[in-house]
Amino acid sequence: MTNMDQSFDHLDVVNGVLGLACNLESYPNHLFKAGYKIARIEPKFNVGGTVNPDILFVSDNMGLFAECKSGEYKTGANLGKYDLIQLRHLIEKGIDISDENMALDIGIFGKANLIKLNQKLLEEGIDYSQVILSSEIKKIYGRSFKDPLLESLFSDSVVVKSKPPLMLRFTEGSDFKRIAPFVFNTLMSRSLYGKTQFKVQEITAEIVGEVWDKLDKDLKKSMIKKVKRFLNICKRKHLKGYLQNNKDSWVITIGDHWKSRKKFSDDCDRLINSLNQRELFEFFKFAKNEYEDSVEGQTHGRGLQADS
Amino acid sequence: MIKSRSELHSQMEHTMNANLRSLEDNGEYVDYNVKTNIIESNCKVDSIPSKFDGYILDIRPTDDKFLYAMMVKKEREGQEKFVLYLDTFFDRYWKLYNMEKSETINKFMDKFTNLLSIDSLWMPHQMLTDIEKKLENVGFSIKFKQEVFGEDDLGDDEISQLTMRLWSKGSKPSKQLFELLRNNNFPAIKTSTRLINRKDSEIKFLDEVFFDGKVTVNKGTDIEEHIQFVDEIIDDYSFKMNQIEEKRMSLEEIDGGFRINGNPFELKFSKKHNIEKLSERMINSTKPFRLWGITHDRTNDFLRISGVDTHTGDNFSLDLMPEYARLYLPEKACGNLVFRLYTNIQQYLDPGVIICDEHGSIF
Repeated sequence: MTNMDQSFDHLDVVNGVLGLACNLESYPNHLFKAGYKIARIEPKFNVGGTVNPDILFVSDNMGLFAECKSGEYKTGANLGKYDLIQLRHLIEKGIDISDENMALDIGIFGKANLIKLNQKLLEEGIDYSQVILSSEIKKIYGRSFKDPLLESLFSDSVVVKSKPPLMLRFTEGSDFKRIAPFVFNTLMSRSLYGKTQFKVQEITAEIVGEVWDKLDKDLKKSMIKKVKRFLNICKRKHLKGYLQNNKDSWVITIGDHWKSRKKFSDDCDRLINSLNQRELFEFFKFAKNEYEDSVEGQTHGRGLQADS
Repeated sequence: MIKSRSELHSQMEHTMNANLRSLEDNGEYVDYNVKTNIIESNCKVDSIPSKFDGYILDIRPTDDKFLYAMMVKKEREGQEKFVLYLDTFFDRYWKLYNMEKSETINKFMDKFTNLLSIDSLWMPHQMLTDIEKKLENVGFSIKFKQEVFGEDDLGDDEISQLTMRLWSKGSKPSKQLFELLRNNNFPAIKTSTRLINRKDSEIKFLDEVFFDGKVTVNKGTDIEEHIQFVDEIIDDYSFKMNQIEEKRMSLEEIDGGFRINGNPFELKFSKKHNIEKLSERMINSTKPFRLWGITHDRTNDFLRISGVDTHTGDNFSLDLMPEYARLYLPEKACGNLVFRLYTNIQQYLDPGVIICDEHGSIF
């Protein structure tokens, strides 16, 4: 599923699909209504070649593999093999099955890119159900879902009132635009706790959250380098009054008064806005190179990938 | 100084009885009321700072393992001294008993619950209404103040402030007035409720429960009944807290993939709000919300905020839309943020707001 052909953010599509399993009034809830829950993100199955759908949802008697697409041309090497996944493969992964007759559906989800992508899929003989998630949600191409409830829910066009919920904040390959807000609030949180001194590795682990310990050593290194570079940009630019470092030992200083905190937030905003295009380009190029260096040589990059 | 739990109970019951007799004979209290403040604590007793905001604390153990005498004085000489009794039997919800002047205790509690690991309770209107189901309701107070939008932003039929207090002998006036307010779209959100516990026509206690966990004994004869009542409030709050904290969001790696735990909470406003103004007020670190944040996704009618609760240091994310908000609580954050945010929105922005998880309204 992984490639770097991004016409818009893959994570938006992933969150758009995950959000359908939440019961929100502010966003459509097709999958919740049909009784589906999120079972796995990026499960990998060996079906005579590795297949790696983005999300697996399960209901009492159905399963749905969701493949999220943000590009117009690349379908992914093994997309055509998703039909080979059987219940035994789910059981091998420790996924709870409540019905031995559980049927498995496959859906490709995307935005306007699906219109062009459909041509590529047809050329490759892939006719999975294809659902557009833009200002409306509707199945636009492909075969029927085996689950009649899904087929019925996705057949009608439903207006999308707002952005999907933020189920995944960022992935390992996300650019720093995505990660920067979480760097800033980790700095603020440390200041409030009085834990003002930190090493880059510590703060990177806090930003990434619970999965940090499970990441590959190389990916950890890559993330640490990204954060280090970003902290250096912060220190050189609008956050120079707040951040100091002696090699890898950093100190954050934000005043306790609400006005100081407000100023810090204004300075964070200014920092993001002031990064000119050249700096952004150089920074993202660096981040991308770091990321690609770190996954080079791995059969499949572990963990949540930017992609597709 | 009181040295044991039994001595404390005797002293509190003595004060209650003396006040009751004096009220009956002279129509006025002879002593300050017995009061219990329930607080939410995420620290140990020995990590409470001995000095903060002009107060000096001297916390002394008693014969009871969980009960402490908390001697408080102001830093400036000649200022008042007072004592509270800290009961830490429930690990997360502590009780502070006192028989001191309300004003003194209120000022102290305002600062004490501002400490990083200590918070008051934040009971929304619905929780106070649930407490009423157990006893006879003989009054309430309402305190609503529009803190987000100024007079110029409000429509002619909107209310910028409402403060009222009703005490009645029976429950009928209380119910009738509240219904009248609700039916006419006034901000019908209680910030305290007054309850009588009668057994065999004897008043065991007449308590007033405030949204922040303060419970005042206005009249009473039986301290044990009061304490049992306070413990039931703790049980209810704790039950809701567990329900909320089960929804905290995390990403976990499991065999062959990842799993998302938890769900966002969805707030449904009773009308459309200007989200630019709302976020400006909500995340500027000041009271009542005391939240800090950065808006990192801004489109028409949608703002996504990455924030920090300046009261606890916990991170959170918030989406704001004119008719909705979504609150994402990460795995390590304290669930009290949900209580505090929701209660503050009720009291300072939108009295008709509701908050839901995937199964519906949580209060």
